[in-house]
Amino acid sequence: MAAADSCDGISTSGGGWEKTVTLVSSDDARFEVREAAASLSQTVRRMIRAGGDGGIPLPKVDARTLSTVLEYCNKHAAVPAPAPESSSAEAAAVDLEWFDKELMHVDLATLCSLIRAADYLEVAGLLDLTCKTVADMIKSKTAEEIRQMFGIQNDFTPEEEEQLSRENAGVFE
Amino acid sequence: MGQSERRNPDGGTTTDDRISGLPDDLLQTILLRLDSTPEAARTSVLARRWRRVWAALPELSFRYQHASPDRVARWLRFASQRLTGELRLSMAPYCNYYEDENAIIVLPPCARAMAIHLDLCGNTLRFGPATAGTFTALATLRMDLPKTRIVAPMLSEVCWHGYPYDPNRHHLVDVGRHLHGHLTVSIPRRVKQYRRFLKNINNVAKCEILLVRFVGKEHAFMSTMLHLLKTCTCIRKLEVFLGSSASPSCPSCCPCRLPESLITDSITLHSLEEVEIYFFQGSEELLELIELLSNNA
Repeated sequence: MAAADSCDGISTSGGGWEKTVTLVSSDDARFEVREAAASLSQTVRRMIRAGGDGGIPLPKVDARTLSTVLEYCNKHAAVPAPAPESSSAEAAAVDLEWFDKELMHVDLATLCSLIRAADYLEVAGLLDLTCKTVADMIKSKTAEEIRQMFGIQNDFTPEEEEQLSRENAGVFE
Repeated sequence: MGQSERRNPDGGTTTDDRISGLPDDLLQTILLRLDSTPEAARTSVLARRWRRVWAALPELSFRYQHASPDRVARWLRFASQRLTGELRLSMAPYCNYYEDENAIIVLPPCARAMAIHLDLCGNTLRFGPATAGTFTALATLRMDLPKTRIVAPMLSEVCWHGYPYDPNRHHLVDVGRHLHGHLTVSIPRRVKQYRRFLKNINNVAKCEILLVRFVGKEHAFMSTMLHLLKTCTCIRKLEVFLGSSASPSCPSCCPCRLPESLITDSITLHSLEEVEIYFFQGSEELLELIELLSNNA
């Protein structure tokens, strides 16, 4: 990602003029993004409206996570709006779905960072995508399988476990 | 961003366990996407951190193709101990039958539930006995039950749908002081049953807002309305829906024809603020009622 300064947020992109903004990650990396893409984040959108220069600081997101978030935003904001029900609309939807699937091929730590970032930045589509990904991992697994997958320590005492199984008897079927 | 308000995990997680480190609301966002409360609830056995996360989910959803009454009863028992918001139970028509005593679902007292909405479609459900506790926090109750007996001291809105309100079968024991009642009444034709009906209608005496819908050709529209107005002394708002013309078609010995049934002297409508009457066809009785209300307002 190019780290160019743009105090007024206006620069050229490709052949024409397109408004861009600069986002600054917690570890001071600068990302120049098209405003249309950055605005998928409600948090950034509010900060753009509030004005200011020198880039928009995002102290809760590191560069690595932010670059993935922006990859998502760039892709999803780039989609033009063809007439619904047209074959190109269908193709675009399939392409997006494919892109989303690929983007979720990350380790668990990254996935959790993405969930936090999507929540903080209020990128609704990405929050939904990441949470759905984790939910699909949990689905139809036993408690022990889930613990192993996520590295969760079972810290119940044997007495507590017994009480739990008594309370839940026949309920979670 | 409201981050500070979030409850963070109370330690006990390893550094590798990233997921348990997420705040409760994000874990709940994940669990909601399971689209199945039994699946979400199963996470409560993972570790202490997960014990109560699922319980704060804003909605519960069960998708059983064929839920046996036994399974529903088990869930209700489980929910009754934990539920703090609204309980909504919709059932497929006629999964259990009256004749089978064992098939009757019992809803145990839900001490913290604020609202209960039952669409039972002909299935039988009984509220847990008062000795087992009460519905202490219950404010709204909507149900399609032919028979009810419930103790709910905070109840402020009650609506019977599906079955006409029957004071002999729908008992509200110790309800809130500002009750808002929706009643569909079907007045018994027989003299004896009608007397009992009037006697027991005191059930709704505490209603401040009363919405009465009359179904069928009512022989006793006027006398029933007068009785209700005498009973509900603190009524503030009255809404009456009258389906068909209220022409008397009962024998002359019917209590609704007795002169004392039509005495209006003891009616004091000190708190009445608003009256709405909807009808398809006017009648003399309706005009009398309107006159009475306007004279007392």
